[in-house]
Parts: sequence; C-alpha cells; structure tokens
Amino acid sequence: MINTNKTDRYPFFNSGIFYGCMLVLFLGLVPVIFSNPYFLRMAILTFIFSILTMSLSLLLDFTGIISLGHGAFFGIGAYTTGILCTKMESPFLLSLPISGVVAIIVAIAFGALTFRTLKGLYFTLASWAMGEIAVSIYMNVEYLGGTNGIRAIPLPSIMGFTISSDISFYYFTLIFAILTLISIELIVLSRIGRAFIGIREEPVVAGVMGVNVYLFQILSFATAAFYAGMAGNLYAYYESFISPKSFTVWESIFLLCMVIVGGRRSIIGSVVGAAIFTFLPELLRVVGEYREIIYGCILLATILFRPTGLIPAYHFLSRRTYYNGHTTS
Amino acid sequence: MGILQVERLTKKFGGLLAVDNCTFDVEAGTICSIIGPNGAGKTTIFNLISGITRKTSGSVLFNNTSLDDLETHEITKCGIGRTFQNIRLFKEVTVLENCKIGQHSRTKAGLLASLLRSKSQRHEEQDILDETIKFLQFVGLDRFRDELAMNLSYGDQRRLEIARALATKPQLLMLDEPNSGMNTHETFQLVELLRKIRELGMTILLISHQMKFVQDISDYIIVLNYGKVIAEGNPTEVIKREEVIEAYLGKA
Repeated sequence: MINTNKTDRYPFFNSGIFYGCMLVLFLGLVPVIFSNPYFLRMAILTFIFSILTMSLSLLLDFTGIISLGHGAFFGIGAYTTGILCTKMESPFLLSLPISGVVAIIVAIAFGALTFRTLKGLYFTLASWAMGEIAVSIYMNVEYLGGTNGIRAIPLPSIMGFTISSDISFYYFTLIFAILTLISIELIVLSRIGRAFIGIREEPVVAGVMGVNVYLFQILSFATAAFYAGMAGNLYAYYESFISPKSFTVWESIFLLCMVIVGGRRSIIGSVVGAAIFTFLPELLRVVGEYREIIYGCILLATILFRPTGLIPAYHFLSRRTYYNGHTTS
Repeated sequence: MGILQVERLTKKFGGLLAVDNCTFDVEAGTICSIIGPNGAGKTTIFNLISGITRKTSGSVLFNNTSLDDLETHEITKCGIGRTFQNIRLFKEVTVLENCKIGQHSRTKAGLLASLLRSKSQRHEEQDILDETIKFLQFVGLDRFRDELAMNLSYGDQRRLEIARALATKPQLLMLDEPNSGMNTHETFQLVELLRKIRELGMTILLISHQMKFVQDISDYIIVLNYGKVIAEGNPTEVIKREEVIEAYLGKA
C-alpha cells in the first residue's frame, strides 16, 4: 500500500477535505459579513462562471481538447431555461435537468460528427464554427427573441420556496459550484479520468491501451456540456434576462483564459481563474477602457512566468499532491 | 497453427509499397523476431496488426479470429499489447498512472459508478492499484512509482513501456525495437526480462536491428526487405542464407 506521510499525526487536519470544509464554512459566512449587494453579485457570477470553467478544465486540462464552443453550451442552457420558463411555466426542478440534457444532446451530435475525423486544432476550428452558428441562431430565430433576447424570466422556486434575494442566490449558486467541483474531481480521479488523461497525453497510445478514444472524447465533451448547460440555467434565472451577446465565441475565449490563468491540471484553479476575471473588471473600472490591456498583460504574464497557472495541480479529494496532479491512493 | 497468422498483408502509401504480400505465422509461446534494414516495413507491419494503420489488403488472424474490421482498442481487448519504437509514454503522468491506464480495457467502472464511488468501483480501484504494483515490481520499477514518466532514464522508460503493455494482460506482446539505444548491460537485463515474460506463457513478437540480440533471444526469425518476407526460420540457419547477407551487407 502506498503510505502517506508518517510524520502527520493528525492527517485529517492536513487533508484536502479539511481545507475544503474550512473554505465552505468561510464562504458560507461571507454574505453575513459583507452584505454589500455589489459584492454579492460578483460572488454569484463567480460561482456560475466557475461551473463553466471547471467543466472546461475537464475538457482542456484533462482531455486535451481545446473547445471554443463552451459559450454555446452555456447559451443552450440559458435559452432552454428562458423558453421553458417564459413560454411553458416550467418549474426549476424541471428546467435544470432539461437544460443539461439539451446541451448533452447537442454535444453528442456535434462530437459524433467531428471527433472521428478532426484532431487537435482542426477540432478547435470546428467548435468555433459551432459557437458562431449558435449565436446566429439566437440572433435570428424569432421564437428565441432575436437580438432582444428573452426577458422577464421568473425567479426559481423549489418546493414552494422562492429564491429571490441576493443572499439566497448566493447560497443557491454556491451549492451548485461545490457539487460541480466535487463531481468533476471524482470523475478525474477515476478510471474514466485516467482514460481522459491518456487521450490528452498520447491519443494513439491511449487507443493501444484499450481506450475507445472516439467514445471517450465524446463523453468528455458531453459531460462538460452538461455542466455548461446547467450554468446557463442558473445564469438565466439570476439575470432574469438573456441576450445573444452573453454567449459569443469571445465569451468562450474568455473562459479559456480563466482556466489557463487559474491553473493547468487543477479543477480548483479554474475557480480561482473565474474569480479573478469576474472581480477584476469591477476593480479596474477606474481605468476604464484600458482594462482590456490589463487582461492581456495578466494572461501574457501567466503564460510566460507561470505556465502551469496560479494553482498548478491540487486535488483536494486526494491526500497527495503532485506537480502534475492525478493520483489516487 | 500459430497464435497470429498474417496472410498476404499489403500496405500501400500512395505509390509506395511499404508492406508487400507478407505471410507468416507466429507460434504460441515463442519469441519471434522481425529483422530487416531500415525502411523494410517492420514498424508498418506492427501498426497494421495493432490497427493504428489501415491495411490495403490481406488479413490478420489472432487466435483464429479475424482482426480485419476491429479498431485499435478492440484489438487490445483481444489480447495484443505493444510498445513503440520512439518511446511514447504518457509523459506528464506518474509511472503508477501510466501502468494503471494500461488496465483500462480489463476494467469497467462507468461514469455513474465513479461519481457515486460505488462499492464495486472502490474494489476495482484497489485491484487496479495492487496489480499495477505487481507489474512495476516485475519490471523493477516500483520504487519510481510516483515519478513522472518523463523523468525516468531511457532504459527505465523502455521498461515502463513494457510494464504498461503487460498491464493490458496480452497473450501476444509486440515490442518495437525494445533494445534500441541501450548499452550492453541494459540489453542483458532486457533479455532476462523477455525470458521471464515468455515463461509466463506469453508470446513475443519483436523488431530489432541488432543481430546479436536477435540471435540470443529468438526462437524464430522473419527477415524483411522492401516490404517482402525474404527468409524465415530458426536464427542460426537464417543468418547464413545468401539473400539475408545480401540484404544486410550488399552483394559481393
């Protein structure tokens, strides 16, 4: 058996699960301490975006697929929710899974079509095309509201309890972000995750090791799309208004930046990336238009001086950490 | 009846005949070597057998079942493992994880079981870990299990490739130039390892350039030149044949 550090007398207090619990406790108390509505809004958006970046990290960092279509799946989830809630009065507990499933269906169809023949950057180009197609559908289909988008999406309610205040939205989205973090960690630290990593490192060899590369690429893509669809659902409810410009390819590129700055090979790093790029625009409001330059500089500095990202590899569910992450013992 | 039967295997790359009507059998439980000058089509034959490259015509039978329409991962599942000439490990992954991925086709935990950490999934993970350590001990790499594959020495990387291929539990192990770039000592260790593998009842098909290594270890030799089988038989006899000497040294 592989042993852990024997000098640890209280391994629990040094484990990722302990740190995780402390972090959750802290995050749980935040709205009590800072009830500033402006701050709460940033935090809620961070949670929603972290669901997107964590799932994108599963694709980018663990399966080696560069997708510019993540914003499109985000949009699919948001629009599905918008239509379901404004035209069919669907409750939250129905619209959430449906948003995820619609995203999965589109992802499987697109993945089945492309992964067989397109490798690497060619797939990236195809995913770009998909992102553009999605946006032009949102813009031009009358039923989806065209450029005006969908307005007046009602507040979500679960079993009679309506989530209306910012504080309740804070806890609501926090729970989903935590569930996403745990479930993606569990996937990465499993047989499925190992197959993904094999595909990232050497697709042909992964095949020789018995991994059905085509199927597992679709699986990774569809899983990521599922989370993105659910993030879209939460976003639509929170903003109560959606329009095509939130789901463009630029948005996908922005998500990729969050993942890269946050940390390669670490799911928690993507959360940090999402936080940085959500809070930064507000903190940089004073410099006005120059903030785009600052984003660019942050990205450039990260890639040049810290290519592994801010948090290189840490799995809070695994006792041991590695520079490359990924071990279960 | 051989465990692997290759019949009139042909591969054309554009106008180039890389493999030309090759027919040979590999007997179960033997070490069989394919030799030949550079560009003779040895690695192409490996790629055709393991399904990485699609053949132009001909057929491959393994345990009397046809591999013709199978994909790479299905061929692995049938019981064929292989290594690569230019070492192709999962570089940024630990030695342990490299070997764990090798067990993919023999394990089955799905997405849901992984998410719920079901009892069978946890049992399976434990089995995978135990077996992996056994394979690493077998090739003598267990002390490096937490090292990244890319940090290993050249000889150790080659051995890790063998361990990873063994982890698929193959009946036929195909080694593409397992001794290239190795010094005499490392080659000696490799010969020992290959004999140990044969004792486990596995069949080995290997490619090599070095005559001495091949003579030491093989039960059977197939000589290839310009994609054609020009000679086959037991090592001592084959090497003396005129056409083999000609292919290697040129005409006198």
